[in-house]
Amino acid sequence: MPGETSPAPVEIRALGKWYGAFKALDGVNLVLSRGERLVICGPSGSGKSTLIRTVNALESFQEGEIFVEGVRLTRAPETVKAIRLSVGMVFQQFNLFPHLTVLENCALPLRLVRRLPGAAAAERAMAYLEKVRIPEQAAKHPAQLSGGQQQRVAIARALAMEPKLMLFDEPTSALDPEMVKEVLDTLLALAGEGMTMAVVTHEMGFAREFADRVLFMDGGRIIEAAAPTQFFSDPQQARTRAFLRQVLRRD
Amino acid sequence: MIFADNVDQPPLLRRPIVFIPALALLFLALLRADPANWPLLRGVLAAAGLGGVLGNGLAAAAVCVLVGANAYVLLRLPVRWQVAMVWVELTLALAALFVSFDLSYAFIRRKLWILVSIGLVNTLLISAVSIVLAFILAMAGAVAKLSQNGVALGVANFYTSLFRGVPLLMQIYIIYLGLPQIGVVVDAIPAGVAALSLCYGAYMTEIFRGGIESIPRGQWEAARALGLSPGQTLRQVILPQAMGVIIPPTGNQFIAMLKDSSLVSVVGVWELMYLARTQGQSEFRHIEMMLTASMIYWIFSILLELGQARIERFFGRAHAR
Ligand SMILES: Nc1ncnc2c1ncn2[C@@H]1O[C@H](COP(=O)(O)OP(=O)(O)O)[C@@H](O)[C@H]1O
Ligand SMILES: [Mg+2]
Repeated sequence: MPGETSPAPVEIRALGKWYGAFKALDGVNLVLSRGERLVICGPSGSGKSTLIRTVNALESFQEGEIFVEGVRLTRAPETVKAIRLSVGMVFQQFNLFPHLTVLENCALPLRLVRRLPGAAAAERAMAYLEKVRIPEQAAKHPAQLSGGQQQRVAIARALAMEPKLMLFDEPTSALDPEMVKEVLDTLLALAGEGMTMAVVTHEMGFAREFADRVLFMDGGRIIEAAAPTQFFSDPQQARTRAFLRQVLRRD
Repeated sequence: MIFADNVDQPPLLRRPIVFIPALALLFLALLRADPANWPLLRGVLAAAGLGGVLGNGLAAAAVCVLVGANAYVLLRLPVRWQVAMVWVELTLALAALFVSFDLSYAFIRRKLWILVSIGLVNTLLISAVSIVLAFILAMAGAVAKLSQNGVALGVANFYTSLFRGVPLLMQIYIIYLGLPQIGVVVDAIPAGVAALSLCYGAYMTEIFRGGIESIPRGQWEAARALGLSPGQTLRQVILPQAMGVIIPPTGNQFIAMLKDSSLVSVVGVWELMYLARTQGQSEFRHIEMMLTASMIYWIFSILLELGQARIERFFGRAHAR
């Protein structure tokens, strides 16, 4: 409603998660604001994937609360469905449906979930394939595409559902080096349109250019969060500095 | 086919360590065989005007040379021709065996129509209906086994345990003879179909479960993240992919079922096996009917195998590069 402040796309309060006796997330607080571009980094096993996967209920949690677009995440089917509809997700391994063509990959959820008639679904799917600049691949099966193309299809598939925010879990980690750029460029273009995005990545050059805020995790906790200029030039925590020394040496 | 290496391994039959002992064994076996049992040998012997040990030895040597020459030719053909020739030769050998039974072909011709028009039709009908029902049972069983629902899991476990653990013959008897005890009278054909469906459904439950489990978790997660319901995820994403894993062993089950449907003959269903047994009885021509029925089973198994190959190709297409 005009005048009223709209709820934050994501608000996470004191989130805690256990895998058995192992605490994977520990007291995580995080608010993602409208249009924000967040980059999450941290060593392997620090809980980055777990954190973003709890947001659309791909992982359960035991402590704290998550609100997505003002809706409190519970285990109720309608709530989970409503939240999954406002959250788009892109995976490291693409997870395209190999038995469907590229176009059908994008159109299937539109038909089944958004209840669009077949022609309208195909039309919208095509529009988003054009957006990620691979409309000419529409009739192929995913296995016939390069990794970078597959990941762009996965992005188009998520975008076609017209979510309010997008989550990316290491979208370029499974790609050959020469394909990383085409996917990161797609993300930058998306950011230019004001999409709210949280991206788990080790691409620090990209983070510098893309992010409003960079968040460093270790041992299931958020250790540091800052604007990229400050995060990279003047990190406050010793662990952040150690991590940055390692990943930047690689670059 | 096993992934081929770029090395020409000598074929087994071309290795002296294989073919020399093999021919020697054949020679010795023929030497000891009574020539009277071998019309062909007898002919050769008579033509040579030879008898006794020498004639026997010559005949055996002649056969060994023939076999060796056959192998020599066979080994120099392209693979497809080798397969075809082996089929022809083994079929001829089988036919020769049958000929030696001294069958009455007139009797077979007289009874063939009844075997096909009633027996085969019923056999195919029972098998087809049963495989469809088994497919549905297996699908439900697999979903139940993979669910978190203890009741469904318990029912599915009990079902597969019971129907895989009890001989199919018993199941047929129990359904046909046991159910009337509690007031449920089932005709012979429905009883047979029920037993076959339940038994094969239990086996196929495991095939379906394995097929569903072979699909990576990422597929479930992608479907869920897009908002698909559990049923939509299963029907539209998981099962179409699992079919590639499920179809080949299901084809085998269908072929096995075609032959196991002969077990329902025990409750008097006029299927192929029952007719083969009863028709032969009247004139003591059992072998004729049994062989004819066997050949009919075999021919239909071959047809099913061909059909299975086509379906496999259809489901394999999506993953082709
Ligand atoms: N299904 C699981 N069962 C048990 N432990 C898990 C599971 N998934 C992740 N973990 C553990 O939780 C921790 C965080 O994992 P993850 O979020 O995947 O880390 P990251 O994405 O930062 O590499 C790791 O130590 C990992 O071993
Ligand atoms: Mg991860």
